[in-house]
Amino acid sequence: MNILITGGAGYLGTELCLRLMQRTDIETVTVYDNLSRKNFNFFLGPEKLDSKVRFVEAEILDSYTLEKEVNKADCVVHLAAKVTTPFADESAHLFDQVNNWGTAELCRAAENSSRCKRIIYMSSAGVYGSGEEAVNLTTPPNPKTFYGISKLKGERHAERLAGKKEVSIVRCANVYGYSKSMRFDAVINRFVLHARHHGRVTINGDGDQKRAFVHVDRVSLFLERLIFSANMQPRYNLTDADHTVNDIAYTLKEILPETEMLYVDQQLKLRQITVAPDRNVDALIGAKEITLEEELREFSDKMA
Amino acid sequence: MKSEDKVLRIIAELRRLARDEGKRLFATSSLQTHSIPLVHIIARSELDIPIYCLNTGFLFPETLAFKDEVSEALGIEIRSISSSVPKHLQRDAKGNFYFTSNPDYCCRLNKVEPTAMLLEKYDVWVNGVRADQNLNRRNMKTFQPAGNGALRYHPVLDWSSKEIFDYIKAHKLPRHPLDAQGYASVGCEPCTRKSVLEDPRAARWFGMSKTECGLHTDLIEKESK
Repeated sequence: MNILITGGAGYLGTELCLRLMQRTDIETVTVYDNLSRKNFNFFLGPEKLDSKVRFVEAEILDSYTLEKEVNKADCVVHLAAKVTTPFADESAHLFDQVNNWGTAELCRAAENSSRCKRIIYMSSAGVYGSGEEAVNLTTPPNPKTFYGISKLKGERHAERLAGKKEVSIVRCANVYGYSKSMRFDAVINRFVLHARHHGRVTINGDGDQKRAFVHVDRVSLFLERLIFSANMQPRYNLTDADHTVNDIAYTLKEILPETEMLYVDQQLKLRQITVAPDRNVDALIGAKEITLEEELREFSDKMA
Repeated sequence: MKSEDKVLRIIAELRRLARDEGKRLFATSSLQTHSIPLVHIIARSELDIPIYCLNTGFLFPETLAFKDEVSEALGIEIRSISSSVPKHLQRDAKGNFYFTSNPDYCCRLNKVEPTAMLLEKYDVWVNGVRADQNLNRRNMKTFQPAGNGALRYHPVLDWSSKEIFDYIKAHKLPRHPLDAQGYASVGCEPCTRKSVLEDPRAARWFGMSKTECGLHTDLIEKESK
């Protein structure tokens, strides 16, 4: 089986690639990425990339190269996206370009490919917008940010292919956890770095905003199993647990007691989103058993 | 003339061109509800006339799904053609897609040039423009040269909107799913909005004087035969 991972040199793609290259039932893992974040860590580290890993430096809107690569793949995992955190309202058009029309290009290539049978589209819990109640798969999407809107538009292109290909849409919570390609704009990762090396974390708003989170190892395990699943569902909410930003900061303070919290605009109550567990996720990778504190302690210990 | 007589005249004309004159015909369709009668008439002609959808890459996914629905309902193949210029090379100096700064050029890349390539392969281009759609189309003829020796054939040029919708009703033709959401004219998503005012075409390039994508202004010789 040949797998194409768009955005494959990023945070999730790196971890997924490291898993897939160990499988004997996979011939090729093509990592398709334009390295837009200027993060080359995918190519570093003690784990050597297996010879079955191919790297293609191209952007998702490079329709010509994309089509060539999709034609070689049995399954596409579409991770490529424009993401900015914590504020996802930088430029409506740029989000639209990559997340909406980039996905349209991918789906067009997949539709025209007789080889490509399965498409996994990494969407975001951001498509639900915000609210007090925990969302589930029956909650109507109501995105509040340009990012969330563009990801929802991307979903429509993938959904269109549902009668022609095996399609699954994964609405993913905020990802965290140690990885050589980890992003430090993700709140937990940034907090761990700052707590360890600055002795202080910066919190926007009053810190009571609750968000859904999922560990990067569980995301990569989930995607690996989904690629091979005989019972792939059309949609998943991929989440581990909900935490407030204060929960995370104070848990870190348990581990690193010297940590200070600096609140910026602390009169602000920022929007929150919580996501109910999805039993179809648990069916693939089991329920999470480790606590946030144990996880953060392990994470912190991995840092230099 | 009764609508069915008009249809039979169109089918006779298509057969004359294809069979008697040996011309190679093709058709394009925007796959809006009002363009389906012509697709249906072509299917009824039992001629091998390929029908093309100009997949600009910016179409609503609903339009592409509708293409499949029409294809299945009418038992015909609808082919897609696209620009050979990849999307990452369709950006302006600011890095934005051309539809944000130069919609004419975006249309040229994604609609006019792919159709011009078809005109090199075929003799007659059948398309569903109607005189009642805008001023430009009001001045068009049923047959007009498209340039490079190819001919445009506008079989439903004299049809009114009522005749179109009567035909849709009579033949129970499928409707574009965005109709029900208030889109009277559906083109590329970035340049379409829900209908405003009384003019369905105002839903395209809203706020601009632009009313045509270029297919019916650039790929036409001004002097009719």
